[in-house]
Amino acid sequence: MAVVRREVVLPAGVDEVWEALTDPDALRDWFAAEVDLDLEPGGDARFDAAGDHRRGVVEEVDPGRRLSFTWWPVDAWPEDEDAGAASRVAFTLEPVPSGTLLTVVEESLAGTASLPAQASASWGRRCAALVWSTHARSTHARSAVLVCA
Amino acid sequence: MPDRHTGVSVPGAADAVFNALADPTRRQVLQALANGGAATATELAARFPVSRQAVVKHLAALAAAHLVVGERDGREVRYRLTPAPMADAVAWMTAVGAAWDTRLQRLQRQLSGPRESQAKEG
Repeated sequence: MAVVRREVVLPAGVDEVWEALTDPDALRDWFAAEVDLDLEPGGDARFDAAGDHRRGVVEEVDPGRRLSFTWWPVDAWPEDEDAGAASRVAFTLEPVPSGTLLTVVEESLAGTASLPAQASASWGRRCAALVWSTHARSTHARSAVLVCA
Repeated sequence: MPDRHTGVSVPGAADAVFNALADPTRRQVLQALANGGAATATELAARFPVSRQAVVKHLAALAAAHLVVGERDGREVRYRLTPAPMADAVAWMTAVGAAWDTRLQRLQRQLSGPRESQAKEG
């Protein structure tokens, strides 16, 4: 199971960061996609950018503290979902003296990570703050499949 | 306090992978195994301008990172790539990590500039 983790201190309070994470107008800029989140557990999540369309399910919504959702790629038309490539994204917000510490963790929910291997081009590239998880998150994999069924 | 850790952090495993991939000869050994299938250290050493001893050390580093596995074949050990999921997981982490780096840089810039909310409150 593969996990990626990033942390960044943002020069803004948690309320402002929360808005940046959840407001479509703000997301359009930094996320570079049309993002629409139904901000409640089980709510729909939609992400649309040129050539990159995803659907998902909102999981945790704790304003100013935590937001998580699962997502997976879809073809724009027809909506053909690749639930095998699902992953879970979790944002955690923590106030710090200079603003907000935002932590993002994305973990692959697939039995095996299903994005095509980029072979030797990506090997050797510097990657900071990687976390390699060997725990199988089978419960999350099941819930992702049920949502798609 | 929210739990930040949604997966087990195994820094040793990640370090081993990137140590393994950082060396150009090790990357070439991986490529040779990908192209030609399983091989012994002796067979690999014949292809590269390094000693068999050096190849053995490289293969040990690759095995420690779970990128190759050695299987005894009589008196020899044949090395092969581990199943695709390992390489796929590394590629996934690379791609996803890069995507978040880009988004978070933009978010940082967005929150550093003048904000509409301040103008509205003014």
